Amino acid sequence: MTSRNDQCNNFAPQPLSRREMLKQSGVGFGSLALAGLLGEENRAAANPLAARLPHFAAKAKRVIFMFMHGGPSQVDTFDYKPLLQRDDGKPYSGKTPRIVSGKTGNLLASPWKFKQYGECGTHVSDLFPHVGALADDLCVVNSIHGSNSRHGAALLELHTGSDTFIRPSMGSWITYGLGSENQNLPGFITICPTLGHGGVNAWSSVFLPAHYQGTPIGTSGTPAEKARIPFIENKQVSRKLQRMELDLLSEVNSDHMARSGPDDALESRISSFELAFRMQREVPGLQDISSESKDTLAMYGIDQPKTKNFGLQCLMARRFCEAGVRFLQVTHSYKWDQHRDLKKRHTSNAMEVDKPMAGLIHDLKQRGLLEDTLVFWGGEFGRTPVSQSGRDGRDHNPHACSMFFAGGGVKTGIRYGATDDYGYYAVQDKMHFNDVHATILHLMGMDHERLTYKYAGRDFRLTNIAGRVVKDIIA
Amino acid sequence: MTRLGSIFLRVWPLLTTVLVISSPFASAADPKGDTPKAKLAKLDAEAVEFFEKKIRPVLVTQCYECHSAKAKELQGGLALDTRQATLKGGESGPAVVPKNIEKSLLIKSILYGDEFSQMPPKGKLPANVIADFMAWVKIGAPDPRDGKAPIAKKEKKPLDLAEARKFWAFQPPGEAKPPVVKNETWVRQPLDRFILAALEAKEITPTAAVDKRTFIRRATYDLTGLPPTPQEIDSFLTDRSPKAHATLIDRLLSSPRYGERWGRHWLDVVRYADSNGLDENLAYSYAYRYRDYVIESFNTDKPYDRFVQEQLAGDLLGTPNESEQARNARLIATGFLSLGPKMLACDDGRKMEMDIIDEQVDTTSRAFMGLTMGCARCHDHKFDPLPTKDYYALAGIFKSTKTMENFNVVARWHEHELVSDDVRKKIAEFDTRIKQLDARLKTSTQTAQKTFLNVERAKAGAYLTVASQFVRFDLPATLVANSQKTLAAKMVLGQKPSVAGTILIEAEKYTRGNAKKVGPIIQNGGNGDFPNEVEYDITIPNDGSYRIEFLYTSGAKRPMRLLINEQFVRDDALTGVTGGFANNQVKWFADAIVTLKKGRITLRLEQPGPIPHIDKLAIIPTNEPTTVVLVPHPTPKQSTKKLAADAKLNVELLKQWIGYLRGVAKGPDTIWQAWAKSEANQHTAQAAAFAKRFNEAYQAWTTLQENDPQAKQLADVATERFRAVLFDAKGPFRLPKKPERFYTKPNRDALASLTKEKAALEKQRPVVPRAMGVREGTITDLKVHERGNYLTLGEDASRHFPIVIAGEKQAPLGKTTSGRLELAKWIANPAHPLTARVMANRIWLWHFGEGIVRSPDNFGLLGQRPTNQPLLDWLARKFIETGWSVKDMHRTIMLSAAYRMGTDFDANSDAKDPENLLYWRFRRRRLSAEEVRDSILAMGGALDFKMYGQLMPDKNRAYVTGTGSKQGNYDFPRRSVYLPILRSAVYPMLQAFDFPDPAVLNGKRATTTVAPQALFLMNDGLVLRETRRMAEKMLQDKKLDDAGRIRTTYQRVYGRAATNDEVTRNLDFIARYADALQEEGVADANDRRVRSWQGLCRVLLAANEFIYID
Repeated sequence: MTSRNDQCNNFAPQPLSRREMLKQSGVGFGSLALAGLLGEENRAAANPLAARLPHFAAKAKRVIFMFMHGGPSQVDTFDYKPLLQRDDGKPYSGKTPRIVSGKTGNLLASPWKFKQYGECGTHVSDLFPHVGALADDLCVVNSIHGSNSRHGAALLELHTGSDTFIRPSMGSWITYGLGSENQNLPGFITICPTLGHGGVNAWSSVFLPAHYQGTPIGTSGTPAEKARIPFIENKQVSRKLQRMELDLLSEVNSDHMARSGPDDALESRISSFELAFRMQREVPGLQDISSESKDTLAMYGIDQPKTKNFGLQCLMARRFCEAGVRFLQVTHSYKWDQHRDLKKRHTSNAMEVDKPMAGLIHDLKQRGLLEDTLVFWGGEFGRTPVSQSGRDGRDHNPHACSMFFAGGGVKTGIRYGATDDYGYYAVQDKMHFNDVHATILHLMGMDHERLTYKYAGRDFRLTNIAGRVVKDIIA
Repeated sequence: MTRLGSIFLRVWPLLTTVLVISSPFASAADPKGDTPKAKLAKLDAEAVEFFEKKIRPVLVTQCYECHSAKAKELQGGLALDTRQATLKGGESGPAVVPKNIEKSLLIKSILYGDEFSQMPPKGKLPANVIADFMAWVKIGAPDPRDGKAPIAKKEKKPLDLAEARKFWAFQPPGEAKPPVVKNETWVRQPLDRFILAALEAKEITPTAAVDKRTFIRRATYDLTGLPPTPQEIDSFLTDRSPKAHATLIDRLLSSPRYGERWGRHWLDVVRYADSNGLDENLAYSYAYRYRDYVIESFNTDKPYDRFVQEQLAGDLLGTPNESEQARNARLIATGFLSLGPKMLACDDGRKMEMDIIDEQVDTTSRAFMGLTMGCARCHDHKFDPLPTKDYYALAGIFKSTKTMENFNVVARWHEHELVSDDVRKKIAEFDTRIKQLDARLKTSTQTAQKTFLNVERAKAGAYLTVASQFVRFDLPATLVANSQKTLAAKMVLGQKPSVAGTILIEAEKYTRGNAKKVGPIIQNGGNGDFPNEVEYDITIPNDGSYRIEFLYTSGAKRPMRLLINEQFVRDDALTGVTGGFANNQVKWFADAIVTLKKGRITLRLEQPGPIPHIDKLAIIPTNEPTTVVLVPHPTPKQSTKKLAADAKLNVELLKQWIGYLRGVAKGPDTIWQAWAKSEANQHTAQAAAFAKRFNEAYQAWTTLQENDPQAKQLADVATERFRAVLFDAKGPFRLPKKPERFYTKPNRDALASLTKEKAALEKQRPVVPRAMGVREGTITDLKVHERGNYLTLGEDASRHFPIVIAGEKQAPLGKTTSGRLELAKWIANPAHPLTARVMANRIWLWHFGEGIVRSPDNFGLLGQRPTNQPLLDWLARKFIETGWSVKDMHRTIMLSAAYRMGTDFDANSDAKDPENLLYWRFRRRRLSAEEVRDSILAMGGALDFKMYGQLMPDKNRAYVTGTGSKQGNYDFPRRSVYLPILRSAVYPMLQAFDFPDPAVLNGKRATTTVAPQALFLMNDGLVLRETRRMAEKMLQDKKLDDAGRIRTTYQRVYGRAATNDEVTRNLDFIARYADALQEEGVADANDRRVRSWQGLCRVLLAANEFIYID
């Protein structure tokens, strides 16, 4: 247990019994969580993963982040720039950023056509026809920006709010703030995350207690169907034999407890084995999609080789999210870095994710989960409207990128913020990654200035010393 | 034109209007003599209206939230809600200077010209609004908002040093006398008096001492991280002397295992890892030397003050006659500063450098002094008396230190070469010998090449004859070769050709041929040894001019011969390069415009070597003039290889000849014009004449060289032309690739033996060991970086030490040294109020689980106060007095009554001191990640006690993680301290058991109880394997019965006898487990037996009694 001193003062867990808390919080707990909690009622130690009350009423209870590693091009996806189309091939007349990552050429029009979708008429490029079809459910933000032009640093900025220091990841902060709704599962799961460009730091709790560390299922090097939680499999010992072992263990531990006297740590360790045993049962069950209908599989594109892998990741995300996991990340790893081969590779990347993502949003919606599940999509930065590698590539661009949000209390069918004429810089209603974090926390009922943790002499927050809640995108 | 200027121009029309309407107050803006009120009175109504309509609303909606008296937190000290406040401005200066656009920061900000002051931050204001503001400033910024003097911006409170120094941590440790206590008999060491006095004051009785069995387990794990063996337990239990405990502790302290455990504690503090982590995660392959240095330093009880100095400035601590080992050790020690986490890929090199320096400042001040200096990077420390100036003064020391070789993407860190002068000499000797060998190799190579080429040069005529068959010499120079200006390219793939009458042919649908069909393309039929050939029978509808175009991909130039009806079109068709062979790289190229007759033609493509990947060909009617005339040409339908063999020529040189002739065929080269003009059937005869000329040139050159080795060319111009062809480094007799295969055998052998000799020498050449570390750099003072940004520089911060401790009057650090050595000496000085205390507290914490100061890395205002300051001060002074000996501290502490207390719970004591702040009982602790792993390996009997070295297989600076990479290999039976620690990808087992994030300093590990720990003990391969080993070993002991085996196991695992109940229960478990296995179909009785014992072992190792230490 962390000592009381390490807990932040502003966000100390309520000193309520969990049963009481359950009553007070009323709605919001799945039946699984209820079972999990009641089963552990005799545990003396406060459970760091127990669901906690937010600062104020939340619109979103859980988050799914679809991370496109590499940096998708905003001007080829969600940021329609007619002037860029017009001025294709002309020299860029504006100001080039002070720090750039590589050499670039003239303006490069998007090779894709944009269409207006839905009632809202949001422009989406031909790369994302399935997602485009859901435009009325989306809040597209075109004015996202960060500050670092390299993958590693930008990736950390997106995930932790800082490209300068080592900080806990947003999933860890959120789980630290709200706990988990299912005591048989980790509160923060990241499916097939990348080990590159910061690796574990993108799901690390750093100085927050280890409970809030993201649990990786596989890595980007693993096909989604083979991705597993560490240590979850045992091919040598059957469930029945393991049960016998745990029963003996429990007796051995009880004897030891009788000799050593009351001790929270010893007690919670005993129950951790039972939790592990349940987790061992529950997690593979959640990863087993054999019960899903053919239609569902098709909806996520799992029936097609090109979309199967990401489709599986998205479907797993839905299943974990249904089971009460607080923060889920699915990663489409390091594919979006098109310094060259923009046409071919962006096409292929988008094809891999378009249908699965649309399937996920649609599925959440039809299950009534989208209301309180915040889904968001984006990469670590956008790309330049000017070209590289002849005329088939774009450089990194932290000054403008697009993200979309769905569900979880965001306004739908809107396009928020804008870039300049060519999509080089976010200029209107700019939204820094810190603002994204502040807004997500707000949607989850937390004040980003109050969600703090004391470490190395000061209170830390996900948003560092910045962050603005963008109320304009909140419904 | 400046950006400002261009915008200015754009708003010009509007500006003039405003100037006209507001001309009356050109005089009003004149500050002389007018009181504000008087000025206000003069304000032109229109100007006010302009302000009210255009300016004020924007200020209110866009600026006041952060820049008004009512702002929640006034940003940058700038208020914009009165005229006076606006003119005075904030921290950066006046917001508005009337009539001066350039000097008005407000304008600069809203123009978004400076990336660090862009206002409003949400987004740029519309152009017309910006224009309004500029016009407003230009006309003198009329502003009726009269208000009091600008509201007080948050003035920097001057640091009250005298007050600040009153804080306990900045006071030198007091001379604490061990107090008198009531229960004298309890006291074993002076320090016990401090503990007991505090307890007695609260009427708490210390918990009863543990028995010897518990003590030896506690002490052994504490000092070595391993369980005591049954023999060790026995000998301690039977040692009845009063010095038994002291003997035990001395034994443990002299074990090399001690440094492995306590070195690891220190490695937590210095955020040790074998990779930089963060972004491009590169292997720190030599970081391990620092780790080994730490282990050794603990084992040899290196005085802590020396230890501190070596880590900060080892490179500067040399002494005249020191051993090589000592020198290396102090260089390696500076790895402390270098092996931190780093962003190695940052386009902003200056930011990268300042981030690395920040990491050094933060780690140095927290590790040694418990000062959170890092907080002062962007602003004065909010709680501690550490102004930003102090931060940059320290940062200057590291700025003047060379940590990095460069700040490129990806950046390189500096490494020391650990070489003695002797070895350096030896290396130099080797290098001389290698150099000599290289010279001999070069000569031999040249001889071998010359021999080979000269033999071939003599056959120049034959080469010419054969090669010329492949070349068309009469192609007009005007031919548009391989133009990408094609007609077919306009077609959208998959659709009908845009030009009517186009004949579009799929390449793979050839009439005859041997090229390989792969999907929609054709490619090499073989490895290029035979001609690739394809023929297409095509019907031409009308007489006329036709373009011939091909769609293909090719990563390199792969010319083909193109023939129509056995007439030569060109010998260098399809030479376009598309950048690769991927399907999506296909491009159309035009090769010729020819005149064709109506009727059937045969189009032939052939090539003795590799060919492009051809997708389609198009024959497109056109009005353009013909570019090439078809001529008969007897090209051989044979591979160059066969032709070369027949004519006893070298095939590579033959190919070079073909290429060369193709080149010169079109050029103006004089010697080939005659050749080109002659008919092809006369070439053989002509070749003889040419051969003669080549021979003459060769002979003349040989003779000349004998007489004049310096000669560059022949005097006779005509002969020189032929010589040039023979000897041109780019000519047909240039050295082909991999020429070794063509050398004569004696030459080859001679070379091989030299190469072998060189390899042997290189192998013997001592390898230069390297270590990460720092040395002196360019001596520089920094300025304060406002808000931590190097673009906003503030006052000078000459290098010095934090003034709250070192005082305001400090000797300047000079222009010749970084000040690192002085810093090291200052920190390691007994007079420093923090150094000894911080380390004494760490040692105490690592023994007791909690420090006397519970925030071991923060002794500042926001850290914890010591729960027993006299005790801490006494320990600190004792530490210094005993020569900073860490081992002496262990003895002092571990022989105390405090250390011998039990872990038992006591309701009365708990009520009075629930957090055990006063140490009324010993803190039960869970094994650390390393202890769990090492103990399991020890139980399986597999633990390898080999010390030191590098287990990470990756080469220095190689990427250790990346997308798609797997977790590294950790399957070594070595102690965990030697496992590679990869930042951003820590071994999951260590991570599960609270191994600290190696990217941050950590003086106190958390202990969590999370399910992955249980999963590891239930399922991980290591546990399964080691418990199997345990079970097998146990069963091999034939002297024991099963009950005896259980008893032995308990001795080994728990260090105690099993009770009869335990024996019975476990025997029962084994029997039931074996039955269950049988039910599951495990037929082999022996296997069942091993597995049931294995199951039992797993339970015993997973149990709290094993994982916790009392």
